[in-house]
Amino acid sequence: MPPTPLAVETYDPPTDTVEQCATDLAALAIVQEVLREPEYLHWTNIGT
Amino acid sequence: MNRSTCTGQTSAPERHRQACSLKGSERSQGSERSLSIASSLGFSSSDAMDPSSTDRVLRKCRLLVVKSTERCNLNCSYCYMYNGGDQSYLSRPPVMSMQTARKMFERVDAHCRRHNIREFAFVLHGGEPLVAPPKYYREFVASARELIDSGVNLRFALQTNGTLMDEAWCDAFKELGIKISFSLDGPAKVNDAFRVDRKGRGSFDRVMAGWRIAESQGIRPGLLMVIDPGSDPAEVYDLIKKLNPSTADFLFPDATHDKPSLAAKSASSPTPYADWLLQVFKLWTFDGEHAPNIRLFLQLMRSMIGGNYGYDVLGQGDIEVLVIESDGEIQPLDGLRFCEDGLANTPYSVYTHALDDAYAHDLIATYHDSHSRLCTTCSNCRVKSVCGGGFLAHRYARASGFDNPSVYCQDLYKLISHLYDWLSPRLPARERARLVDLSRGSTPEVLGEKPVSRRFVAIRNASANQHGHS
Repeated sequence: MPPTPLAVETYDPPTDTVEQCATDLAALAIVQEVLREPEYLHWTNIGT
Repeated sequence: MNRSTCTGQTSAPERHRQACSLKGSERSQGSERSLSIASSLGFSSSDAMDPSSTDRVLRKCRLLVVKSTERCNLNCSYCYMYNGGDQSYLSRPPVMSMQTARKMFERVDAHCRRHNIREFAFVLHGGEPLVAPPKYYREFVASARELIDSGVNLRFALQTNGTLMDEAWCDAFKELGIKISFSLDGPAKVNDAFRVDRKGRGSFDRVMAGWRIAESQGIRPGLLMVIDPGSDPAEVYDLIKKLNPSTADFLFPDATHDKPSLAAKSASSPTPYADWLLQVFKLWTFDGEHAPNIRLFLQLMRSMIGGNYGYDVLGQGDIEVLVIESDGEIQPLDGLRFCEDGLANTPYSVYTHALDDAYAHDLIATYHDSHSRLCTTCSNCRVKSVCGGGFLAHRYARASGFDNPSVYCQDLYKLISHLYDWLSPRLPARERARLVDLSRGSTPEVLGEKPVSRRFVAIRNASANQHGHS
């Protein structure tokens, strides 16, 4: 499902799990990665 | 930002002196508070009486970018080290001496003890750090472990152009636990437009050879890419997938309000970088579990749900980074030297100063506070908690210092808006309630009012009510 930037008029009621909420498996994997705590944080992007 | 570091036509060092002088007088009014804070953290009374000690207490460093070498075997046309106008590398040793490195480690040890830091990182950087031999880094790492409290977990990373990689280097990296990252901008025609050697020859083939050697030795490097919005984003993304780096990140080209990027001057769109990145983002989101780890996208979205995941180009939080030049000089991030010749230079050195002392320097303190010292426009902007005003160097103008929005302001706003719109409806309700509120404040003028926040303030509020978040 392509992004729908800046123009979505409707929205489904909140649900309780990532699985219910993700619109497809690809988005699910991305959202899960976003929610995952990074192992380590740098404060600059070089050397990472 | 509270004040401009650079005004008028005075030299960069002179501007720093003026700024520091002003700051000292301002700080003296807060000396009583300094004393209280310093006392509670175990500072000596003499430290606490120093008008600069408020910042020394509050600010700390947990990552050093170490200019182990100041020379490079390539001559990339956009390089801030050699081709951005700053010539300070000419006056520094080509390689940091072990004497300087050991002094640096003593300062790190003291800093970690003073601030109770249990994890500290070194990023080996140049120039090209592989210009020095592997034995240099064996001694470097051994000295660090000898001189820094064994209770501090030390991490080492190295940024390389990859052209000098061989099996001996791979052995050293594995033995020393050094993580490496390659600089590569894309396929040959993209990379070789800028990343060339001193004879003007492209570096792509040599970088790929180095990458294959690393892979064959069981090393999975990271990847750092400067965006060329004239390139095909699909081709660049395909290369990232093919290389399968541990992490990939995109850099906006060095640019200031005085020295805009080439693309900004020629592009028909006001947001060439956002347009390019959003095409990559679209491909990336289709890849799901096979998507490479692209730091820019992940950290932007993590920042949107309130995490303090920023780094010096975006987000919130302090930038706990300093640079140590090969002669021991303590600097803010060296990319700031692109702004103008000598701007990043300071009078602080590991030979004469503690790391804490350097935070009395206006530019070092400003860099540390990058995401909280914002110009009026950024302070009022609705996405400031996600973009954090952008990278400090990109805000620079000779006439007004850093007291400006980023030259990439419109790109950042557009990118953040799209990612926010993509992420928000896909989050489970509990996380959706954590979304930062982007409904209040202004938008960059050129872009005008966008519906993004009107839409999602309703989503966020609904979730917040459901889960009791404010």
